[in-house]
Amino acid sequence: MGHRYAPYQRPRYVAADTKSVNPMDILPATPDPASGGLAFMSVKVTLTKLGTRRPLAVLQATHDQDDRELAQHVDLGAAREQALRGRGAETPHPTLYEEQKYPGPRWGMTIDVDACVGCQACVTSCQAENNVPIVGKASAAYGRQLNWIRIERWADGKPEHPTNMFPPMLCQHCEVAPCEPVCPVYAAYRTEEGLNGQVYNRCVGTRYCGNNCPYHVRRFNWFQYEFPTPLEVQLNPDVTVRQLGVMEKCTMCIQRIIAGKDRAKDEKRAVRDGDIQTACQQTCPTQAITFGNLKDEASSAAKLTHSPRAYHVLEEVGTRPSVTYLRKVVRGHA
Amino acid sequence: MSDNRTTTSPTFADVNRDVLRTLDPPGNLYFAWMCFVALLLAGFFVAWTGQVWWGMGMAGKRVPQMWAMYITTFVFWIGIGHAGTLISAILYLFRARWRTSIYRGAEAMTIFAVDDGRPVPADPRRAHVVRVLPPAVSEPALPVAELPVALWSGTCSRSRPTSSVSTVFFIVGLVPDIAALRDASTGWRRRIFSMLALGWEGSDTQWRHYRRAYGLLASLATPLVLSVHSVVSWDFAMALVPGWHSTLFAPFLRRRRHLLGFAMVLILMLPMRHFFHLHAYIQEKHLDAMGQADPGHGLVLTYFYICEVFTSLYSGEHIEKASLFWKVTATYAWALWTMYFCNCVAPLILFWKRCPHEPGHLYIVSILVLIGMWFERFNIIVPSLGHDFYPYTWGIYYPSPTDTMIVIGSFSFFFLLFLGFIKLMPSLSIVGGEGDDPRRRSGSRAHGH
Repeated sequence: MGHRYAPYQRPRYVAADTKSVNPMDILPATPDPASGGLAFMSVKVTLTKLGTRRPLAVLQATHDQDDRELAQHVDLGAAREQALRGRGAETPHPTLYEEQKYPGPRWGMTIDVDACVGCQACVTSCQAENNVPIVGKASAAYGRQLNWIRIERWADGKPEHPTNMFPPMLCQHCEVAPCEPVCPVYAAYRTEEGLNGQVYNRCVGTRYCGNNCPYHVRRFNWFQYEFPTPLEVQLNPDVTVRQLGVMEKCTMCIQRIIAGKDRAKDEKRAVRDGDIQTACQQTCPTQAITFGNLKDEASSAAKLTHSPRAYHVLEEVGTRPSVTYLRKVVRGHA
Repeated sequence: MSDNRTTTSPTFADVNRDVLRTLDPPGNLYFAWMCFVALLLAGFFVAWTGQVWWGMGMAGKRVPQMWAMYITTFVFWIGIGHAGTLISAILYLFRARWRTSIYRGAEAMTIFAVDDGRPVPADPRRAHVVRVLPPAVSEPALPVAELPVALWSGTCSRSRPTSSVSTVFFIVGLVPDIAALRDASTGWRRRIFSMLALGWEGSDTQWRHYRRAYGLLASLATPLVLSVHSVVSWDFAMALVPGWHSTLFAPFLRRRRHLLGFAMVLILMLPMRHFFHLHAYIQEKHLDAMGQADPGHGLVLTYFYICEVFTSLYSGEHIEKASLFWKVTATYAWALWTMYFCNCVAPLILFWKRCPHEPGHLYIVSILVLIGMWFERFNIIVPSLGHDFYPYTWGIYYPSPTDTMIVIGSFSFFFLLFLGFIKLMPSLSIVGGEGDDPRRRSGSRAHGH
């Protein structure tokens, strides 16, 4: 709890100070007599049998990847060997089109499947940061959840000893994005900085982009979702509240990118690695998520992109995602 | 043609009488049908209003089927719509004389279907014009602003010129008939028909211009119609979704459309023939001509289906194959096998010698083909999306009351327009019915005065 982060204070959107205060320090360390746990973490409960059943809102259709290698893992020995040898040269997908040029930075992200423990903190922080509405259990179970980032659970290997992986899935900000050419009104477009933009004012809600996205990370406002009092107070003023009938998705916290660039400009310097943190990255307790400029070879995100463990989800589709995943390292039985 | 008609061919007076009879005030049965269809249409408006008011979520769509029955029905109507003009225009260009008995119906079907296709997928979404108004005004105003906007601007911008060419083609075809009706009717009808007849007198000059214009429109409509349906199919083919990502679609859909067009024309014309006793105009040999075409189209379709399966298997792509196996064996298998039965097996019954001109058999086969055609579009859209790249979101689509009602309502809208059309306009070509032969046409001039 608390990890190394300071309370959220202004100025916003800057990396946390490493000398932050841990709130755990001021809490008593006395154990609770009934449970034996820490007093502030435990509570006495009584259980009563009600005799009714309620279905869970299971968002994931299957835990079998059907050999599609969405979440990948590598044996410890092999990982060590790869780390020594380095990564082989990448063979780019053949293309007839000109490569995209990035005059400024090219934003990208790496997600370490090895580090992710599946705690869903990123989902919650994204929801708070980006004004993502709550749709309710029934809607979510039916496939209308609006979260921009989701934690998936995949099990590989034998059922007795499965390798469990929790890759967070969000908009991959593909370089060759399937969502863009199908939009009749150019609401989905590629920005100069390597993001897939979504212009809410243009969007007319055809939902073709949502159908054509191989990752299914685009979200549609099926109803006019409300933020009943007092929830409207916590809305982030830097992010648009979307309305009925528009498509939305992860923006890589574009408001934080802009704020970070503005701050660097005010201080008359270039944006430094770590200046800009996405909400999910900032919240991740295991620092599985790294955001940065992929053009800057010295940035931590770019370095991780060249890791021997790096892979892209659905690489063979040829979408060239800006989000790189790092394989989970497993020991022995996998 | 005129030779073998000599025994059965009705005189001009007969034609006028028979066609005018279809314009009599509707009888009880007819009226009951219209009321029933209108009731369904009212249901459509209730469902649609709810959807516009509360949002697209009223329909059963979700991730991954962000499209479902609306698009299915939209593509179905576009198919029907263009089938009509295609039958009419191509048969005219090839001088297939038997078209005279069906072309009016086919063209009317075209125009109603293309118009019908429009409101179906029109989603409630914020019109930019409306947005400047306060929300209380803009939200109810939305349906009005959005009504004529079809789902894809691409499809829409191409379907508009086509539907206008089809409409002009249809109206030009109507002019001499309306003139004949003008001469035969009295009262308010006469006034309306005089206006619509555009001063047609049936003079030789008029006929010469008329035939030139008609031929021109036919040759304009044909490529337009071909291109629109190809574009609709490419709208799907440009996507990555396994099952959509195929260049086969354009020729494939075009071939389907012929079968679909004949089926729908038969469904509309056979009851007309029966209830209005038009056996002298829609003759057995006409039914035969249409009936004999069906199994041929069915066989071609079977070939395309085999191609589709083969390319999926031959691609060697795991995801493509998984999608195919899922479609054939899992939740939506019933829809797929219904489609195979209705489109490939059912038309083959017309190979049996007695069948093609037997209205009952033709009717059953036509209804089966129609069902098969609707399911074909359904099978392209819904199951393909349900089992695509990403296993996390795989799933099944459940229609909600709203989208069920809207789909039923779109059919009722079509039939209501057609039922109304029969009572207001000559649904059978009078001039064409008197023979498509210039000598006979000049005869109609005499009659016209």
